[in-house]
Amino acid sequence: MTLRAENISRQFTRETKNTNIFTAVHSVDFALREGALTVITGRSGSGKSTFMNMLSGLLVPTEGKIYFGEEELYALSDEKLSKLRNEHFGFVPQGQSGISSLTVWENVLLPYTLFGDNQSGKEYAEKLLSLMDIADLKNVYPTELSGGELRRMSIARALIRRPQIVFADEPTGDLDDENTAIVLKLFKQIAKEGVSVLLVTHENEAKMYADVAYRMSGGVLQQEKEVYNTEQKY
Amino acid sequence: MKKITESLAYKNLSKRPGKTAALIVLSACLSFSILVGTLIVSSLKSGLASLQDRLGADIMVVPYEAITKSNLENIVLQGNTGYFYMDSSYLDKIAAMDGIGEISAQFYLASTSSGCCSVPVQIIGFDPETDFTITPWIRKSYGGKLQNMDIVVGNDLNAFVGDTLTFYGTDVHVAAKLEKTGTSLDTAVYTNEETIKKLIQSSLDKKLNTFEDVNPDHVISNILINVADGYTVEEVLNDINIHVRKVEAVRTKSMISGIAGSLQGVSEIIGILAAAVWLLAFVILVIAFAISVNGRRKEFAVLRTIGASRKKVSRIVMTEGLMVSVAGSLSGVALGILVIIPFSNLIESQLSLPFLLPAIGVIAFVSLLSFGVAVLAGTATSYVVGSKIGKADAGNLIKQDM
Ligand SMILES: Nc1ncnc2c1ncn2[C@@H]1O[C@H](COP(=O)(O)OP(=O)(O)OP(=O)(O)O)[C@@H](O)[C@H]1O
Ligand SMILES: [Mg+2]
Repeated sequence: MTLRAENISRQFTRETKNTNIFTAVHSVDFALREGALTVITGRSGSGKSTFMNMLSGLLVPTEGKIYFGEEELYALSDEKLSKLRNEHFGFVPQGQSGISSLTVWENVLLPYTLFGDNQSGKEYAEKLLSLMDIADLKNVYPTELSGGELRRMSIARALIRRPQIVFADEPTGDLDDENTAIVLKLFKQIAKEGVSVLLVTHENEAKMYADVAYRMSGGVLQQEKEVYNTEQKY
Repeated sequence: MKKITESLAYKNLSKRPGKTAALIVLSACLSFSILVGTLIVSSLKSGLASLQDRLGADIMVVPYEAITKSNLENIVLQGNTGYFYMDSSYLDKIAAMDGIGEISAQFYLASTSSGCCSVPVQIIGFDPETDFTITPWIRKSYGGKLQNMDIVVGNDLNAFVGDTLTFYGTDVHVAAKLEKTGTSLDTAVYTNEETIKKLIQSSLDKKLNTFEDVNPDHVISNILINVADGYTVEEVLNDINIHVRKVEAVRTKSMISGIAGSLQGVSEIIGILAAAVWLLAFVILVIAFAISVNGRRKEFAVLRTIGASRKKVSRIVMTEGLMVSVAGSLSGVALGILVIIPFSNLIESQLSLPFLLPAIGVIAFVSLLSFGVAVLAGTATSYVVGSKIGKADAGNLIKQDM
């Protein structure tokens, strides 16, 4: 199912020169390519996270509409929108995002247990943890993890329900080169398997993996490159 | 635990034992202050009521020197020992006056330290024929008629029915133990006129009585009077004080009014103190809980990204609040009961005010009420904090870094 944004803007009340209204995202039209890795780069404060939060159903746009297939996201009840996020969206938040009272294992399975399912996902969780190289840390609490380990945990958590769309906000921020490559390759891989991945970052390196690349500056989104066949690159 | 809201709330609390303990202590203060405040104030009130009952006479007539030499109020109200005598003819003289309804004489004697008691006890004799203050009280715990050489002991004395005590070499038999009044009357011994006369005689024989030349058959210590209908206490009181010499008629109400006054004061202070503790604990609880939840804004935002609805996030916060509140309020009530029951005697002697704990049913009711109010306050707090975090947009919450 496609994710489309029609003319979305987001304003915040914030002190600026003339008005108290600050526009973080300016009238963006956007469609997320299915089964592809889309990368948005841009300077800090350019509106990347704001844009991604709106697309992922976490922040109501001031103007414009977002459709997931035929559903208009923000016309749904909070209950339905939340369920939709749970079933179809995986989200890797910017910064640290462990639930500190749960172990790595419980964190990763939380998208299931949150809805009372204590059975599903265990096999896949094992697989994701080893893929992320944190299988040994299963029973460890987030406070005992490094920034990079935490990030890999939240990636595993975002993927556990095999979502149709994965949103990742600076997913390689605290990772070393080796792990950055692992993560980006993983995103590339799941995109090939049909998942639509939207990745936001201020590191240009990610663009090398991108099928589609955009640049955000001052709240305006511009397409940069489109790569239809990247197989040969790796 | 099956439901995620409960298990997550529980884990959130148990993974932060220090903060959780602080919140529990705060909500314990809520129920503790209500329970202990209410129990102390009501115990003081019923203590006063029972003191008024026991001194259920309008006027007390005592020899003049009882006012000047011995401190009358200390003996009657504070449980100090002491005795004084006047000629028994005053009884007939006053009984014949106008406006006298009920009238009865009492006899005082203080023991030297005896078996039951490490300190001397006050022995009070009464005339079973005319007495109207002590007899109704005795009847509550003893149906029979007091025989000669029988005594009835106050609730605080370490003597039991069937014991034999010896006062001035004379054996007496404990026939009954009185109900607690929470007043100094609980430390006295009561007996009939015949018996106390024998005891006074024994004390004289042993040369242990401070009065050397009294004849027990012809003395009394005080006269208690209820005025007849149609007369005012004031009239009768003045009449006695003007026409009968060497005695002083005292209004019992005015004797108690000192106690009633300080009791009022202490009650108010305790009431204000309890209210202040409650309010302070409540304000700090609200702030502490809000800080605890706001410090985890990002965690709640993460839950929303995973698919928790606003309602579910609110519910987790409210469940945390409810758990803290129930645990705290329960411990507050338990602690309150643990403190107030064993220490009620200490409170009585420290405040030197009558202190009578209410019946167990009333204590249970007040406990339930304190628990309820405290849980309600905690729930309201977590409801407000929980709805607020639920209403915020996850996209805004998520920016705070942990
Ligand atoms: N809740 C808010 N209130 C006011 N201004 C906000 C709010 N959220 C974001 N902004 C502003 O909107 C702009 C875009 O913020 P956003 O978080 O989308 O930036 P970003 O591109 O993700 O930056 P970074 O790379 O540092 O994460 C910033 O200038 C920020 O100050
Ligand atoms: Mg950002």
